[in-house]
Amino acid sequence: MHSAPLSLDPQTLSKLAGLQLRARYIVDGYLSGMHRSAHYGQSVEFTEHREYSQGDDLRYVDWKVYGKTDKVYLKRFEAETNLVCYLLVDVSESMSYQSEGVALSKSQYAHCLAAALASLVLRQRDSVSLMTFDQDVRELVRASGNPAHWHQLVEVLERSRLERKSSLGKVLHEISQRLRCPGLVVVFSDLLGDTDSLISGLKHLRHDRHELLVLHLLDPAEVEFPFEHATRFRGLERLSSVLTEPRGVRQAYLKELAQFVGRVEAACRSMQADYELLRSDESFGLSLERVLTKRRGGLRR
Amino acid sequence: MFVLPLLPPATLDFVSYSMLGWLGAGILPCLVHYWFRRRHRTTSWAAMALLLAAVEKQAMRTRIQQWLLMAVRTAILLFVALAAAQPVWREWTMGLAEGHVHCVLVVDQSYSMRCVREGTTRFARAQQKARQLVAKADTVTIIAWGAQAENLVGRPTSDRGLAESVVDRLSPGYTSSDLDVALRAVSSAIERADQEIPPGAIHRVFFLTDLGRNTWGAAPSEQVSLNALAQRAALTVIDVGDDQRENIAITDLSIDPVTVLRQREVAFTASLQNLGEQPRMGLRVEFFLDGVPINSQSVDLPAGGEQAVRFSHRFVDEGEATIEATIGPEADCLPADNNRYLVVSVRSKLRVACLVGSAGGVEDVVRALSFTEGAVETEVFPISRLQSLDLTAYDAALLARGTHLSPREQFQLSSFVSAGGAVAVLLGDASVSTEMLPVKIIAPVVAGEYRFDPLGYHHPIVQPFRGREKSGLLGVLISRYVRMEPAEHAETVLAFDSGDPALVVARHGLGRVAVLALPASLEEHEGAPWSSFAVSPSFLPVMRELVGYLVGDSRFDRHNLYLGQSAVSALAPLHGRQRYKMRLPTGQSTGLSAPGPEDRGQILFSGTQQVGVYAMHAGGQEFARFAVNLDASSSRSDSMLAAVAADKLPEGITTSAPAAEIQVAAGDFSWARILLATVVALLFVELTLAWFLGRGWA
Repeated sequence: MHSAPLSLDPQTLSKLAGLQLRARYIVDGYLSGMHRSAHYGQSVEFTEHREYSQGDDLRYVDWKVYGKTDKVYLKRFEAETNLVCYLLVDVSESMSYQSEGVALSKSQYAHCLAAALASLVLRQRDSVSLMTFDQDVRELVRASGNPAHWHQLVEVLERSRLERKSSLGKVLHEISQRLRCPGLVVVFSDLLGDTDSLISGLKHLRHDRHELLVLHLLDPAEVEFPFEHATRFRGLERLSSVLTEPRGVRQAYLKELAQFVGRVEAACRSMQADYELLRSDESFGLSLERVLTKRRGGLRR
Repeated sequence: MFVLPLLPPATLDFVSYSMLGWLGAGILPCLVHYWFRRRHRTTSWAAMALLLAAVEKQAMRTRIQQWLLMAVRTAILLFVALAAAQPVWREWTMGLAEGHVHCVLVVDQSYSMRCVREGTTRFARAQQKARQLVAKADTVTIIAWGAQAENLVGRPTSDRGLAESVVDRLSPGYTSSDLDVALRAVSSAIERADQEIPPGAIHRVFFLTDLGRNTWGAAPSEQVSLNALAQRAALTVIDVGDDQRENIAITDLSIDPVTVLRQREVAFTASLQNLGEQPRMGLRVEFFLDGVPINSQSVDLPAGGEQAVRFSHRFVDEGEATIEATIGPEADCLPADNNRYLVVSVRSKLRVACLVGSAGGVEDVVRALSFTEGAVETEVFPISRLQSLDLTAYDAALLARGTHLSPREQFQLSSFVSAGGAVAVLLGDASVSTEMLPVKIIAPVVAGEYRFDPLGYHHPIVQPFRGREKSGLLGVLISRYVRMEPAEHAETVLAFDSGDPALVVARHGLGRVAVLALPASLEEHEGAPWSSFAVSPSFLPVMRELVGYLVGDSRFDRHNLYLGQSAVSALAPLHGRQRYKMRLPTGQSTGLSAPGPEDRGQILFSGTQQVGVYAMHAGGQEFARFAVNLDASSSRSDSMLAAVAADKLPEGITTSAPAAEIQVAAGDFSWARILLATVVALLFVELTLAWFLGRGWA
């Protein structure tokens, strides 16, 4: 476990203009607290020498060193992966929700996190693909390991418009059909919508041998429901509105939320998918660490 | 008035209808609720499906909770408004329901209300009944009724605590009650109540009385007043009397002579009267001197009869003494008239200062007073010594003709009389000039041939001459006299047969002044004597009686009072922070306000409300004593305990026995306290509910 030395809380990040700057800040902040990978293997990047011992593969003997020193050393390289990471980012209207006192909306938080993650993946010379969706797939950036590819991803995220309803289950099925090469699918969404359809979509992806990481983003108000006085809640995504006494329904709402989260989490667990509930006021450093700790194997593969 | 069509037939009435307007406040919780709902905030919301599901599940429960809270809060306000309106549940009374009831309680304070039976006085029974009525009435006026009638609460009061405390403070008096003044007071109280209490209020007048004959033997004028009052109010007599009729009274205790000298025999006479219907045989009458028994006698008293008990006594010591005659408190049911008190001032002798002018003229008087076996000591001074003379050392001063007084001397003499001294002025051709005289000089000298007219011997000074016409008083020849006109407050003791006054006496302050219209000597005027009075056998007794009356009666009357009279005394000196106090017959002391310059050296106590002996103290030293007795003269001919039969009462008045339960407003039942108790309970419910629901929401 590594802790981020820089302050990566959304309050600080919100003061930075532009997703690109925010994502770099997150990545720099995150990496400044990291050590190098402990995984070694075949790679183009040389790391160190070690003395030959019986049984070692002679293909890795460094003959130049042998010629100079008359000692047999073996070359060692960092592990090499060929991971394709698919970032599926929800850009439906519900992701625009931002409660009072919270620095970033759910979508802003998701974009920052997705951009930071893409940067990290590209730094490992893995490939990253991006898809934004609401009730349909809105934009698709094909997988690429080129570091310059990151700017394209950020540009797509920045120009996404949060104005449509979501239909996550249907979109996941659609995406599943599009993805040819198995990889790591990271879903950034509040998952609001038809839960059965959502689970069905996730299963489809899992069936296609994709690794799944579901990042469930919620606003703090959605988690705590802190309202006190009579409030009219106007539904995003053209849902109906309701006037209610929040204190009277808080318990019931929290219960509904817990059931919903529990159901999604249980479904992910059953299909061996990773699930992480993230709050949009949570430090990016902590969020990244939680995500990467879960997926370290996948990202480093 | 709301007539509820419920059983039993009754009406729900409100004492204060205006308060019902506050029922509208019951809508406040609803308004507040909807106002808060209208003031809601609006916010966009993403997790709408979850919220809608929660609202759907919680909606009914929340609504019920809100309605419950709102109902409790509304009920609190409604009940407070109802309690303020004082709802009263009234049963039908003769087909008519009563509204606001104003009770006028007229409490008889007459002497007979002191009658005791089984340890309780009639007055205590009246007080108990009055308290019951206070508890039932909406508003009350309390009238203390004796010789005068006084409204003790002013405006009608709904403060039951106040009314009960007023009833508790009432005490019976020693006089008869006057029905006429009571009716006037009641009428006035009703007029005032009509301005103070809600229109349409019902007036009920309760006379709490023993129906004494002295009071209720209504005169025709009183019947007219009663009829007028009965038009405006329901009049009810609550008879707190009983069948006690036996009463023995000591109606008088006298002393002869009133000027009491040490070692001189005086006679005491106690007058007893049987005011009952049964004879009393062997009744024990006891006499006490300053609490020490000195005489005891038995008497038989026939029904309605009178008996005088006499005994003689010689006082040994000088000073003020108290004589008490008693038949004991157990003699009858009305112990207040079983005692009689007398305060006498015992002296060794009387000292008289004779002040003479250049003409002299007191020799004959001095000679006359010297024949008193040492009872009177006279000293003659020229008038010029008046200013240096300490008159307080003398009981009386005689001023002979020719004594012209300076203003300072006049003031000195006036102060002496005001403080209790006596002055006799013997006029001549050189008249005394002083404003103190109770006469106005009309003509200096009237010549002719005149004789004395004793005016029926009614005055104590000439009373001894009654039946002794040959004693010389009527034979005195008078050739000249000073014509004078007596002042309004003066008494003429003796007159001339011409009709002009010869001897006039009057009070001046605490003392007395006498004026004789001719010299008390054989002086001549223009060669002829004024009169033969100085050589008449009647001269000596008249002079003695005159001095005795001026000195003795003045002091006696000042110290023996009837109930209600003021006790007045010359001031005693005070030292340092000492105060004047009056010790009451009960043994308690009450402070006396310090007299001012306008009181002319006198101190007054006007609170003689109890029979017995009062004593004025200055710094702990007694300086004046007073006996206060009941004026029984009005009850001598009739028993104070005689009552009027209920059926003989004036028309328009109903009677009720004290034991009977009187319905002020029939079947009244006040809901106010129950409503207030409910409000308190609802407040607890509201607090608990709000806390519980709030906790559930939190």
